[in-house]
Amino acid sequence: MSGAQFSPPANPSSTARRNTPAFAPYQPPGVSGARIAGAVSLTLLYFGLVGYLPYYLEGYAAKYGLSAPIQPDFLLVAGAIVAILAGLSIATKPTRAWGPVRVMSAGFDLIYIFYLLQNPVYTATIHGFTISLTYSHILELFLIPPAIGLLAGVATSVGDILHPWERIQLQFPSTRYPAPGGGYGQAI
Amino acid sequence: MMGPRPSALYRLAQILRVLAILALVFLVLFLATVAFSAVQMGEGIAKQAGTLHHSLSAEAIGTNILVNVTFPIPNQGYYNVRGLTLVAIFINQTIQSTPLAVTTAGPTNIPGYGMGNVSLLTAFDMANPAGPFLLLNDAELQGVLFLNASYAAVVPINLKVAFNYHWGAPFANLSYSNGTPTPEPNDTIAIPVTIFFENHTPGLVMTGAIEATVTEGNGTVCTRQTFPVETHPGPVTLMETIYAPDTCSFSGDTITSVFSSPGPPPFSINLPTEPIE
Repeated sequence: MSGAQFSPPANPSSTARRNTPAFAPYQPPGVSGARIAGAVSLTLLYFGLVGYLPYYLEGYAAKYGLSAPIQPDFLLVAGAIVAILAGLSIATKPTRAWGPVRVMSAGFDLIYIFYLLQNPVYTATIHGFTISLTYSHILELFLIPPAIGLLAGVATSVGDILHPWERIQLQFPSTRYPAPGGGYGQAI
Repeated sequence: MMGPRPSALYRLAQILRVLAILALVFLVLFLATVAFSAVQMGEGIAKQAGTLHHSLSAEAIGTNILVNVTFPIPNQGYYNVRGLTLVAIFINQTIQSTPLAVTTAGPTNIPGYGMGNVSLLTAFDMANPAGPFLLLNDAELQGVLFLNASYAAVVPINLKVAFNYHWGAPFANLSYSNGTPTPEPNDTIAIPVTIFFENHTPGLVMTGAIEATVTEGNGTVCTRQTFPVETHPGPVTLMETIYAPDTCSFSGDTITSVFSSPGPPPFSINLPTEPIE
């Protein structure tokens, strides 16, 4: 197994605490208020783009005779779930739950797209002409990012199990007690 | 002095995350340009749709009446349209359960900011069971047009367009009327005959002859005579005289005619039998 050894979070009861070290043990950043605010903002933004925008466009298109095979309410609910999982992914990034949350988020995205692929036909009646438009291949292209994201989530989850605290220390290095030579603030 | 080297798993996850974000950004940008480009193309096609009927023509070959619709497809978008193929099916369930005509066109490639021409040549075979009906009667046909193409190299377009097509009969309202048979010298009887029909097929001009055959009630052919005729879209009235031997009884006789054109290309169709009244 490759990779450096990263120390676990500091244990306040340890004797190392009494003898002030040159470099303090790594303190995980935790889920800060700013991160939660960012996650909520992203959730709202995602919901607007993935949930409300398709819902609005479908209602707008229906006025012109374009009927979609998906219920508008379903778009809202599915968009909300996508947005909440994306927000959770941001909020849990400094924790070991990040990998599983990313797996859930990408997994739901895949299931959602697969569901949309079940009946990917828009039908429109324009000036007496009935036009059916199939968009399955476009949707299939959009399976790629969540599929890669799912692999990334699995790799992150496994990495967090095999190398505890490595990712968190790399992504959230201690700024209070920088390690010598630009290290990650690990304990001595 | 550098920090500890991250594990391979961490680096793999990092690479996959970046790839996923890049793929999503690329797809969104690509889809946006495709959508914008497709809208540009759609607007161009909508402008051209009004000129569709200017390139409608028809001709007769064998037992077929060929209706040719040529229409330009402008591509005002960035991306190429590749392998544009059209399949059109014309049906009328009340006339015939099977399709009256099936036609294909293409494949055609239309470059970005270019223009393509698609000719949809549809053959209506008058030898079909529905042929006699279509020769004499206008009809509203239901059509289904399937359009397949590849847009922007990776986005397939599959359109299914249902439409109505007004079939104009080339011998609509065909009628025969005959005057009183008049005895002529040489043991013949002159029968004044008026043949009237309207050519409702747009663009169809046929030069040929109508061969009229008078058949007695017992099936014996009484006489046969040919009249030159040129049909243009619109009404056609032929006032001719058929000379028959005075042995014909004219009781229960019928008149049958065949329109034939020597071509090229040759064309021959049987017109329905009408009684002599």
